[in-house]
Amino acid sequence: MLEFTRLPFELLYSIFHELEVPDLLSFARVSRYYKILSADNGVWSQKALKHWENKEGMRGLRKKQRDANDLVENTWHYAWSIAGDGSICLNQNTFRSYRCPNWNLIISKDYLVFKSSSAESFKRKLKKFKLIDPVNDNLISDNI
Amino acid sequence: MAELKKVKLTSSEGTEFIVDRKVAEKSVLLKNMLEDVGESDMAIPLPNVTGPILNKVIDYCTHHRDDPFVNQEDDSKKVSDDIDDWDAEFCKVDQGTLFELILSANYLDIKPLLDLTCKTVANMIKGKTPDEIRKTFNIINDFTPEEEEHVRKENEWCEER
Repeated sequence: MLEFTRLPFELLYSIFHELEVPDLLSFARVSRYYKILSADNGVWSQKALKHWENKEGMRGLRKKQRDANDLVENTWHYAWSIAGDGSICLNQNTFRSYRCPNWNLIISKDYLVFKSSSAESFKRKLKKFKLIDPVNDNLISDNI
Repeated sequence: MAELKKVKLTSSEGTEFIVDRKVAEKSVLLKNMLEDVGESDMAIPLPNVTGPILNKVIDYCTHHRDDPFVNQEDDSKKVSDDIDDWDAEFCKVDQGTLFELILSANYLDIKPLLDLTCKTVANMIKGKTPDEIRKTFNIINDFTPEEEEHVRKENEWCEER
């Protein structure tokens, strides 16, 4: 009988794609081998892309701009607007921090573009900057 | 009038299956082969697929023969709960068969079947603890207690659900 452990990585990748973040992290705790496989940047960038596609502000992005490789390459786009009081809104939340040690921020006509010089894996970035928080599902936390 | 063309497929043990061309063409691999070969009575050998698995794959393709072609990028919105009753029943097989179906769907390039079988495996993982996942798939825990604690701490940012 063919066992799970004999499935090649490219097919495990398809299975990882179907898992939510908490389940993927549980899977990473199963063994050394699966910890390494499940930490793959390609897996996590797809998770982030899928998550962000569901965000209000991301729906306006053209498909070619929602490129997972851009996310891995440290460039993230957000739609923005100006609220009645003149403040900048990011996904309907007021955005206050224009500067931080980890990010460069570029404001274009339609999007705020974050650029990170960090070479950390996408998974670490998600954790560090709490961009995916399954409890409090905010896209951007105030501490950025 | 369009005639219902048949295609012969041979499994790894040499068992011959005769299916409608439309059913066979649910596989992108077979579709391309049939287009390349043109009209022919020769059986197409499938050395990577056993008879029982090929039989299951044909069942799936026959049931879904009239489904529209799924674009590679179309399915991003689907979630693992989107499995209809027939497909759920189709996937009620032992783990060995399920994994063989994944390999065959990948080899034959039948994306909807690959998605379905991967979703079924994902559903077997969802909501389980690492130990439950190990038991489900017979995986050996090769972490030292220290490593296990380290990984747990590394991932605890997401533990509260």
